[in-house]
Amino acid sequence: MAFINRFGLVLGVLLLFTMGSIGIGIGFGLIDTNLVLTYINDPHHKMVISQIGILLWIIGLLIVYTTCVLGQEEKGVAFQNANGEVKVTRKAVEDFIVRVCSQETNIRRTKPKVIIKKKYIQANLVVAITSDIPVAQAISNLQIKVKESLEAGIGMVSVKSVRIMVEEIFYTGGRLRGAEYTS
Amino acid sequence: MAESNIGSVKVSDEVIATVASVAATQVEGVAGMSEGIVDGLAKLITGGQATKGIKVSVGNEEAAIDISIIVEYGHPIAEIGRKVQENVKNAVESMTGLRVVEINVYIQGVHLLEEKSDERHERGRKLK
Repeated sequence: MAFINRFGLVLGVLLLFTMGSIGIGIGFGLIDTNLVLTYINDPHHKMVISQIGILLWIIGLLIVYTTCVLGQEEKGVAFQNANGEVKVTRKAVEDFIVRVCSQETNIRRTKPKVIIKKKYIQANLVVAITSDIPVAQAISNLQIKVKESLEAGIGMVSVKSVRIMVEEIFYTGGRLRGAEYTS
Repeated sequence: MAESNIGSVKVSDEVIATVASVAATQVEGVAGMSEGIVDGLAKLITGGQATKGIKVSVGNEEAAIDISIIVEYGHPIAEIGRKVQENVKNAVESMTGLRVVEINVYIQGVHLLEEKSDERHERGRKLK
């Protein structure tokens, strides 16, 4: 989906540049309008232009669908059943992550931000850790724990990714600010 | 509203909300009801006992209930939601005779049990 959005952005920018260039070209007399009209009026070229038009429409609809329908952010994780709806709000999911992290002895502080989409959730965490174990190992363990706990604790939810940034490392003798590690 | 030969019986929204609230908090894993901004304001303006975290829509024979709760960490959240729905439905239907057509449960937060006891300790210290 991210690829389609990026592709759509590039395509849109290219189209805008092309249209702008055509406008500038016609305006300043750099493009011979008669030549353009002759090109357009050719039946074979008309067919090609119409096919490009249809293709652009399809790409446009695809981009609108992926961004507006699939990419829409939800306010919570919702489950429907015969009695109604059970919705776990984003705040509750973030609370849950804080609780999961607080069980880890080498995690001092967690600031989570959760992105909830229709089919999956994505967790971005900013953490402060202690220097007891290697950072990479601590973060890797935390990623697995957060993902598994979310899937087991909330239920029926797919965790696409857990991104962690270490903003602070606490040493026994003091603390080191600004050490960053992104996983 | 139940009709009989000698008159009608109407169960107020607040009674249904109270029944629902009690039934919801009886479920294991529910830490409490969640009071939203709207509830808080309603309580401030009316001065009444707006039932925390419960919204009730009552028809002649049917009711729909929205419940906002906070759960305890360590319990499967979706399962708690499902149990709250069942418990509230059974309680409201058996106590009021209304048919509950929809119960929406909103889980607004996750609490650790230790936090509660810590808060109590803090409060105790302040009182001393």
